[in-house]
Amino acid sequence: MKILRLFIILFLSGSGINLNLAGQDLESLLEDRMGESSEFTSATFKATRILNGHSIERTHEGQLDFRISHRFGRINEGAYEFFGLDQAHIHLSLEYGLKDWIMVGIGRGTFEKTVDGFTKFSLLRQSSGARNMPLSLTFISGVYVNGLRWSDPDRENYFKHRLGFANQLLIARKFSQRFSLQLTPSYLHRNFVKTEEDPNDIFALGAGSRIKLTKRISMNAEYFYLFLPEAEALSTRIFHPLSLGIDIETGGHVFQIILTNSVGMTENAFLGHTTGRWLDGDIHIGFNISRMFQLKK
Amino acid sequence: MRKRNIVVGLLLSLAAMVMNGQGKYLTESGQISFFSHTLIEDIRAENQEVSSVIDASTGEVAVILKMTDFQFPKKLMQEHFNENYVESEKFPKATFSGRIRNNDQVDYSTEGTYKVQVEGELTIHGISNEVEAEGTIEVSVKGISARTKFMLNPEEFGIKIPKVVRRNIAEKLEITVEMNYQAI
Repeated sequence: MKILRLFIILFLSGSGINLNLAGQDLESLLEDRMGESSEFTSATFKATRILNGHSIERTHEGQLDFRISHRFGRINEGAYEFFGLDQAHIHLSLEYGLKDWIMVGIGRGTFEKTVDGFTKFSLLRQSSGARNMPLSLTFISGVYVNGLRWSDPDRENYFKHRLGFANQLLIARKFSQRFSLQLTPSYLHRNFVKTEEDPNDIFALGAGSRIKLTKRISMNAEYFYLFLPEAEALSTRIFHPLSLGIDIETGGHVFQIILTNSVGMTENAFLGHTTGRWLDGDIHIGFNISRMFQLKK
Repeated sequence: MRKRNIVVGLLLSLAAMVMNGQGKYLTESGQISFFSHTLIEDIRAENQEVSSVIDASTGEVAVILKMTDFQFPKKLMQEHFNENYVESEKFPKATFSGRIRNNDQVDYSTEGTYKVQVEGELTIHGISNEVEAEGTIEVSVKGISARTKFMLNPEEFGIKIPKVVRRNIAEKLEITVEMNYQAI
């Protein structure tokens, strides 16, 4: 009986001590409480463009991106044209993040004196941890207004003939800190084309990648395969746009130095009017500069 | 007879609880911010989701936070912070594990403000350093709150600052800690 009494007393008083000390160290207590959280993947690409085409990245809410892009003439024009640098096509744009998941942009390019606008939405974001999402998915829709004077002002010309539209689904995955890949199914529609042989609709599948070389420098490549009926049948032969480039990031700037066979910097131009051929040396040197301004804190 | 045994046992267990304590205090919404001042720019970031626990009986303190929870006014800066400086994907968490050196001078059951010295091991970017700081612990009806400020050199944690931005980022960052703990 005595032993039983002692036992009960010890047992109960012992449980009091256990309640508090629990033998668990503080750090693991915190770790356990924190649980597993999920992390969104950041910086799949460094800029909102891989090179010519859009990447899944958007400007954050309240950020204004002022972009200046140039494509020079063809390298194979030789020393007389300073390897193309005597001519330049430009594209200027202002792009703004309405929310972290939606951005809009407006721009003006030399090619067909085009004014363009786009809206870009994030549909899915790659994440790991508690919520695992293997891919990022972004949708972009653009409209392009040809600003050239009518080639034949006497004929009846309609404004709608100036318009072109592009829709693209951007599917990307950051495989590692060093390597990201994007697939870009694209659909371009032009209301009006030069001749009957030219298609109003062009479907394309793009692929773009980024390989990070150092913390601030990466190498990018981008290719669009155009599904065309028969390239030779078109009034002007067009080629699949291929671009190679280097991203250099410094603070609020991203510089992209580019070699490409396309002189156009917007979807209507590089999907519909890439007339250069890499194998013939129709290569344009170019660059994109992006400067970010934080408008809203 | 047995009933009395149980009562004695319960009393003893209660006494045991009271003796060691002063139990533990926890927060999961502590604030830690850092501030870098240079002639060119001031940079500030704040993390409001810091977890910490103090064991009042031993003076042991632990702090843990996620690097990606640091909020910068400029989102691009936040991205650079995580990707280029602290490499949050590789080293997602920062931890502190230490103790209050003069814990016996803190009376967790009496309202008041107590000066404390804290020392321990701070781990950021996968690198651990011994640090110490002075701060205060305030005991009130609402719980206890702890505050401290100290300077930290990011290079000591293997965080490299490239030359181009050397003039934009201070050599020593001012770290401000503010925690409001609840008893658990």
